[in-house]
This record gives sequence, structure tokens and C-alpha cells, in this order.
Amino acid sequence: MSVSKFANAPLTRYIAKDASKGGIINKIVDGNFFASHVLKSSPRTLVGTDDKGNQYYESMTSQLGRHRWVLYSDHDDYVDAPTGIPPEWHGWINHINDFTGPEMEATKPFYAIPATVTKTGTPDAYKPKGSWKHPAKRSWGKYTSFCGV
Amino acid sequence: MFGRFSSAARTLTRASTSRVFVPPPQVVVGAKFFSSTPPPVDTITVTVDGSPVEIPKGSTVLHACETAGVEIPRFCYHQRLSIAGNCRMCLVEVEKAPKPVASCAMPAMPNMNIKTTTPLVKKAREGVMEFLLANHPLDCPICDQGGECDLQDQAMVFGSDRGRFVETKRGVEDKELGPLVKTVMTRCIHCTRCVRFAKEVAGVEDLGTTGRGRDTEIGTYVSKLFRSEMSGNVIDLCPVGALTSKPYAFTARSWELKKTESVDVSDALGSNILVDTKGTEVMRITPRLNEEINEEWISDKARFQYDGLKRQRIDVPMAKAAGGLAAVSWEEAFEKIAEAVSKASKDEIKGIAGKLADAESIVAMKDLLNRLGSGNHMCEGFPTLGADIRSSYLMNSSIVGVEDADAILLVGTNPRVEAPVLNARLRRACLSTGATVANVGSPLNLTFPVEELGMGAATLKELDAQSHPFFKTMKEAANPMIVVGAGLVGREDGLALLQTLHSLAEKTGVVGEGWNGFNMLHDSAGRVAGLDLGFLPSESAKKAAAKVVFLLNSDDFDEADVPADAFVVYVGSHGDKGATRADVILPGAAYTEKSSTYVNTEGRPQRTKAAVAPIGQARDDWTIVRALSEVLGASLPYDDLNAVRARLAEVAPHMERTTEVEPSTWLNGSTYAHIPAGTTSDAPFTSSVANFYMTDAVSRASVTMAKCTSTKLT
Repeated sequence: MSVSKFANAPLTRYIAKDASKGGIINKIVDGNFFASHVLKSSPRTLVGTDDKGNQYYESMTSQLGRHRWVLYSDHDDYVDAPTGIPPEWHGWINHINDFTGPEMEATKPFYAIPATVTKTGTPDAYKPKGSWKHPAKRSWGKYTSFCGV
Repeated sequence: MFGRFSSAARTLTRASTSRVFVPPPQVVVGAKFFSSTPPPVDTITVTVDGSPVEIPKGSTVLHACETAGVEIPRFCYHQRLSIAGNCRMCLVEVEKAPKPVASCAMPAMPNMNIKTTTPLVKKAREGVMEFLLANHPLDCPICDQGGECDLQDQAMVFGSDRGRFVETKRGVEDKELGPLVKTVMTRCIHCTRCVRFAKEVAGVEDLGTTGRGRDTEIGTYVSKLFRSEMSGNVIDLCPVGALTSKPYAFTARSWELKKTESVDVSDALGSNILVDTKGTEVMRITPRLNEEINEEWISDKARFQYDGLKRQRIDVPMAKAAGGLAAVSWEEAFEKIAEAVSKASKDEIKGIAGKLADAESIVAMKDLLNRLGSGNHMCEGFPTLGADIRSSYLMNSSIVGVEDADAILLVGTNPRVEAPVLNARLRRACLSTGATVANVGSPLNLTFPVEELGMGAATLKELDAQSHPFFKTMKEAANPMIVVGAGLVGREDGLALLQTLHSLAEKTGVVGEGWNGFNMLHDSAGRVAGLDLGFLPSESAKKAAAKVVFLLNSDDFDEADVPADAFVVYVGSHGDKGATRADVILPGAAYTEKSSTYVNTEGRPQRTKAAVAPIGQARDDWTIVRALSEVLGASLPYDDLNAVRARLAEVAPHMERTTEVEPSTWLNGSTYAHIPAGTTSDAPFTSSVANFYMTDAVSRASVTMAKCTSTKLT
């Protein structure tokens, strides 16, 4: 494999992009990065991909309980991305059952809405009406006064 | 005639007649009570827990126990409602009776031996309590009744410390009774107090029970709202948390509240109330017992308008500026007023006392205007009439006396909306003692049968000319009564109509020895105090066009009384019609925030107590007038509340004797004799109250009252 071919390989590009997002040092220190991109790079099976492009891998040669993992398509929320795993893949990735996303699709209730990544910790996080961070500060006044109109 | 007002005489009269709703007379010979009246002849002696007690014949076993000072637990029994006997909590042992007996429903017999402390009674009470708690949810921590719940208290005192219940609890769907009463029907123990109240006192047959045994439910059969002006009283009646107050829900606990004894100002009855406050906030209003006025009921407006005390409040002095009203300091406000007053001549300075004006501020305003040389003062809604004779504008029969009447003529009034609590008494007079009630004016639905005689002045003239059949009914009645509404008084031809009514009263014997049945039912709390203090225009002032107008809590003034070019000063608590018209606004205290005197429609002066402090820069109304007098160069000679009350007693001595009714003299038809007979118009008589829920500045500011209005319309 030539260097240019290696550099242009999809997985290499993925790793490079992934590494650049969170900072190189962080990625090296982070065991997940090393495990999912290097240790488990082969042999592995791509079990499926969900609507958002997250790739679900399995490697039966890995330690039991560590043999399923996901490569997130959206690198921006690398840390919080697990909350974005859709419900149909939830059982599979957490070793609750062996049904993959497409197999669980049929059990989706009619009222299901698309899974979203949690907004906790972001500026869009939910603030209750009594919260100091709530844009409309709660009025603790005991009465409303006549404004003159 | 003054004998009618003696309470001792009244007790005797009431004891001798038996009525359905009247509790057994409390005239007893026992260690517990002192009584100035002699014991009734028909008494029997029974033994309660070994001690003999004398009780009137026909009393119940429960009453015998009460007389002996033994408290009997009860849920369904209520002294103002009919006896149901379905909760079984009041079981006692009676010697020779095979089973425990329900004491509330069992008549006491001579020489009965009643035992309330035996193991049988204890076991019976524990058994009843166990059955009641079997289906009662364990939600006391989230129940608004918690802390003032009969079931809680009695379970603690009379219940067992364990139960044998293992099955699931029953579920009941909550009922929608409107914006005032919240229902949690799983808590209901089926005492049927609410059903009996609705049927007997409120007179709306909306509530009832369906199903039997475990499937019993209280409801409205088909889903509908509880349409009564007194619906809030079921909240107090409910011994558990099944019916609670919707506006008060989850806002406070009963043990956090400070209770202040006060007087209601939402109508002219002056119902006695308790203002419950937490910190600086009024949390709720509940009735206070006063047998002579409201018994233990109050209207929904009196109970639920308190959220209006927290909205549209005037908390700073304001003055008209370029872009509307703007906040100013007291000094600036007073300067503007002084400047306007200096430009006006004597009678061009006018004062109008509104619906919520208290006696202290009225007398201060009158003194101020008089010192400025003006006699131009008037009560809102009382334009043409004089008030020289007290009996011409009072409810002379007193509120209790309504029940003694046997022929009642309503003229231009709708007591159901003007004074719902009085309407309950009228209903009792009509249904229990068989009084005939007739109406001249727009047709009424008063919850009891009313004979509709006609719409207006023509019918009144017919009655006066003795050609109407109802004249005979009144003439033959022992205690005939005329109730004149504020709607009639406010008319252009009010004086002429009152002349006709006085003439009719003379002819039918409405006023006789020991009985004065000529009653005026006012629609506002402040009116009678104003009339008693002579807050009426002098002869010279009647013609004067006002240049400066002081509106004392006045929001429903006639446009003609406030000229367009006049400089208007509003003294009051709420931003309403008066405040929007004003050039200068001075913030006054609301009725829960000041200690002040109000005179009710029967002429009974009563005092409110300050439950909370006035908000913002607001002050007691009379102190504002006092401060203003200093600026206007006509200082008033009183500096504290006692001094202003001394002045009040000087002008109207009865104001000092609060809670008592001063009898007034009837001039035998000569009250209006000096006034030439006027002409009457054909317009039908209507009540002055169009919407029961919104009559004054406080109730108009209330969100709860707005919700009631919108549900009433749908």
C-alpha cells in the first residue's frame, strides 16, 4: 500500500478527522480512540449503519463485552454522542439483545420521534422557569402594579 | 318597633317556631351556658354519661350530648343542613337499644340513658373509621385539606391504630364543577353535605349521588358546572379534601396562615370574613360566623375576589404627563392638586364617594370639602335622593327579619346577584314559612318561586291604587315587606318611584307596631356610611359645575358628575375607570390593608382589620385626605385613627357602636311629603348589578372572577 493510497483511504481520513476534532493529545490519551481505531481495526464486521451515519461494528475476537462499538458520524459531539444512538440500536450496542437496528425497526411505536443528542451542558440546555439562567427572570413580586393605561 | 332589634326577643320568637333549616335552639339549662331567657316549658331530661341534662323536646341525642359538653364525632351532620344520618360516625350507646344508634338522627326521649364512653361506642367508631379509610387515598401530604381535615382529626382521636384493609382502593373520576371548586373524588366519603347544601341553601339541584355502596359517586349526573353564587361554601362544608378551592390549590398550608377577622365589602351585607394571610400576601378568604348577617356562608365574590388585591394595584402617586400617567412623589402630586384647587371656587370642588369608600375617609373628605367652603359631595349611584331620614335608605327589617316576612315585594332588585347570602334567607322565608314573594321588574330566577307582577312603574302605580290583586296579599299579611333595589334608586325617576313605594308601604301596613318592612338593598359596601355622614350635595352645590373632582374609591361614577374639563384626583387602591380618568392618583389601601368602618345595608357599622400592610407607597385613605388638607390650607383636626373615629362618632353617633343596629324612625309617609310628585318613565326596572362576578374595582381586577364571568357566558 502506497502512502498516498493510505492517506486517501476512507478509514484513514476518518481517523485523521476524528483526531483533529478533539485535539491530537486528547485523542491519544483517550483509550477509546486507540481501541476503536487501532486495536480493533481488524478483523471486524460492519453490522450496520443508522440514519445518521453512525457505524456499528462487531469483532468476535475481542474481549466479550467489548466486542461491539460504534463510530460516530458526527464528530462535533464526540463526547455526548452516545445519547444520539437511536432506540433501535440501543439494545444491540448495550448487549441487551442481539437484534440490530433494522431488525428492531418494526417494533418502533407510531409516536416515536427521531433520537437527538442531549443538550445538557450546551447553551441550548433546558432551564426551568425558576432558574437563574432562564432568560425570563421569574418575578417574585407579590402584586402587579397599575401602569397608567 | 324597637323590640324587633332586641336579640333576646328574637331568640324567643325563633325558638317558638319550628323551621326545617334552623338549628335546635341553644336555650339550655346546663353548666355550659348562661342564658338571660327563661328555659322553654317543653323540656325533657336525659342522662349523658351519668349526668342529667335538660334539653328541649324534639332535640336529637347528638344535641343532648352537645349540651352535656360531650363531643360526638360526625361527618354528615351539619347544624344548618337537613339530617342525613349516613356516615354513622356519631354512633352512641343508648340503654335498652339493641344496637348503637346514630345520635344525629335519633330523637331524644325522656329519661334516655346515653353512653358515649363505653367499649361498644369505641369499637363502633373505630369500625366506621376503618371502613371510611379503606377507600380513602393516603394523599394527605399533597391534599389541600391537610391540617384542617375532619377525617384526619377524627381518625387521630377516634380511629384505630391499625387496619385490616388489603385490597385495592376504589378509583373515582374527578368532576368538573367550574373555576372555583376543585374536586378529587377518590377522597369523598359520601357525607352528602354538598348535595344537601346545593339543594337546601343554594337552591340549585345540580349535585346528587349516583350508584350504591362502593360505586356511590357524588356528581352532577350529566357533566355540568355548579351554577350558584354561593358554590364556594361547599369547600368549607366538605369534611375531607374532596372539594377544595381551585384558586387556593397548593398555595399554602392551613397552619402557615395568619387569620384576621374582617368584613367583606363585595356587597352591601357586610358579611363577616376571615382573611388568611401568609407573609404579605392574602392567601384566601373564608367566612366567619355571624348569625345576624351571613350565618356561616359568604358569596363566591367575597370568597374568591382576593386575587384582585394583587393585580392593577396603585402603589405610587401618579400624575398625568405627556405620555400618560407617570409616577411622581407625594409632594409633586399634592402641589398639582393645590394648584388646581386654588383655581376653583368653593362649590366647584367636588367629592364623590365610591363603592369601596370607608367611613373614615368619607368623613375626612367631607370635613376637608366643608372647610374649603364646598358642599359639593355625593355618593356614587345615589343621585337624586335625600338621606335626611335614615329609615328611608336602610334595610329596616334587618337581615334576620327577612325570615319573619310573609309577603315580600321585590322592586327593581335581584337579590341573587346583589346579595346572594340574603337571597338564601329569602329562599328560606319562602320555602319554610311559606312567604309569598313577588317581583316588579325584569323577570328573576331566584331559586324559589317568585310571582312576576310586571316590569315597571305602571305596575307599581296599580299596586298603589289598590287595583292589583297582590295589594290584597300584602294588606292581609302579618309582616309584609318591600325590598327596593339600588337599581331603582339610581334611576332618573327614582324619587317619584320611592314616593309611590312609601305611599304603598303606608297603605299595606308595611310599617306597623314592632315591624318595619321597608327595606332598601344597596349594592355597595360604602353607600350607607356615606349617607349616614350626609355625603350629599348641598342645595347650592347641586347647580355648580365641578372644576376639581376628588374620586374617593369611585370607579362607577356617572359621566355627567365628572365634567370633561375637570381636574380629577383619584384616591384608591386599583387602576380602574376612576384612575384612568384621573389627572392625579393617590395610592390608597385596599380593604384587607386598613382598619376601617363600613356600614352595611341594615345600618350596622362594622370594622375591618388590617390583615397585611398597604403595598408600595399606599396609605390609609383617610390619612391621604388628612395630608392633603395640610397642603390645601384647611388642616383637619385629627391625627390618628382614634381621633378620626371620635369625629365619626360626633357626626354619626351610631358609628361608635359597631356590630349593633341602631333603630331608625319611620315618618309615616312624610319622608318625601315636602317634595312635589315627579313623573315616572316606562323603562322596566332592572337590577344595578349586571354581572355578579364583577361589580367593583377589586372584583374587576380579579382573574378568578374573570374566569367565572367567561364560564357563566358559555
